Amino acid sequence: MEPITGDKLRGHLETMILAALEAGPTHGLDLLGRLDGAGCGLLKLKEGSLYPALYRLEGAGLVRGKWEADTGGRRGARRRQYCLSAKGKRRLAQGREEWGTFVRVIGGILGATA
Amino acid sequence: MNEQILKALRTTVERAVRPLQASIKIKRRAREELLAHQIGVFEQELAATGEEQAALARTKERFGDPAELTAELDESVPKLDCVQRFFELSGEAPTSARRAVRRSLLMALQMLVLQGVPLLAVAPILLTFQNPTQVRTAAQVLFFSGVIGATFMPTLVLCSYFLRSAFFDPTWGNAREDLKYSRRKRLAIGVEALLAATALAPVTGGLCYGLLTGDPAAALSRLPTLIALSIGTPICALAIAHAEQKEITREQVWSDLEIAD
Repeated sequence: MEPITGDKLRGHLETMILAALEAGPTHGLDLLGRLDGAGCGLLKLKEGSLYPALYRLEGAGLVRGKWEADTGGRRGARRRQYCLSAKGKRRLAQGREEWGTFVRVIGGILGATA
Repeated sequence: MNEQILKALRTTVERAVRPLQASIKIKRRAREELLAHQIGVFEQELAATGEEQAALARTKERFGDPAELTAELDESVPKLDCVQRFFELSGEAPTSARRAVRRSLLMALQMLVLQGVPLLAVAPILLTFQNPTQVRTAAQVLFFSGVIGATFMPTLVLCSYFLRSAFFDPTWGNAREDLKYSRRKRLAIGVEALLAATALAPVTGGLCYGLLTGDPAAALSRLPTLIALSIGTPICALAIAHAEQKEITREQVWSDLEIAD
């Protein structure tokens, strides 16, 4: 199967991030690991793109970010831990519902269900 | 990880972040977080490949095109960031005397804007005052805060620039060998800036008081307060100077990077 990249991910990335954060607070690199694991290695995301999405989510109050206390030996660079906010949990539930409807409708048209 | 690798990772980050139309606060955050990410990825790749150059190439590949990332980051900048940028116009530590003067003028302008907004807000209330003493007191408060805003603060940060340059910045005046400042000259400039900061509060405070009361000599009755302020102001200027030098040193590691391909 072909990897799922760029345009196919657009529009879903933010909901996927919210879903990945459901497992608990974490930083960007680990979040990518979670997405990769859940996507069976077929999600091919340009890693830098994760951060603008996280900033948008944080700006919208859907996730909360907090700097780690120390750099953990990363030469002056701290990581930022993200967690789901209550608003983010509601948005995730809504996103799941929308996705379910999308799959039912498109699946019905294509003659294949998930 | 050696310095060369770290510089290469920083350069990739800086290519994405420097062209960003955003406040310093947002850029700083993006730099630090993206660098932490890059270092993490590099370590993963190094563990997998065992070879630094291959790990570096893979890290860049996984990161994506910095120009594309700039566009994505641009879209993530909140609309209200323009307010932050307006105030940052005078917040960034200046790296030359010309910039320091420009910053002071900008700060004076910002203070006048800040002063104007509450003035407009309270103007209708002031107009309802019947008692002339109340109007006068209100006018005094507004006048004082206006003078302090537009004169005191910009002059204070200008003094702090010279204090920083003279006492905390070892590279100051080294741009041209023929103009290189001697230790004595730096000390003289620093002392002059300290004296200016010391005189700032009594002069502005005394002038305001004298102008408002119509009796300049009356300012002398406030001498203890003015003396207290004249001690606090240079301490404050030194603290600003020290903090700004730290900030410049921290930022230099990014601003010195050559990001052209």
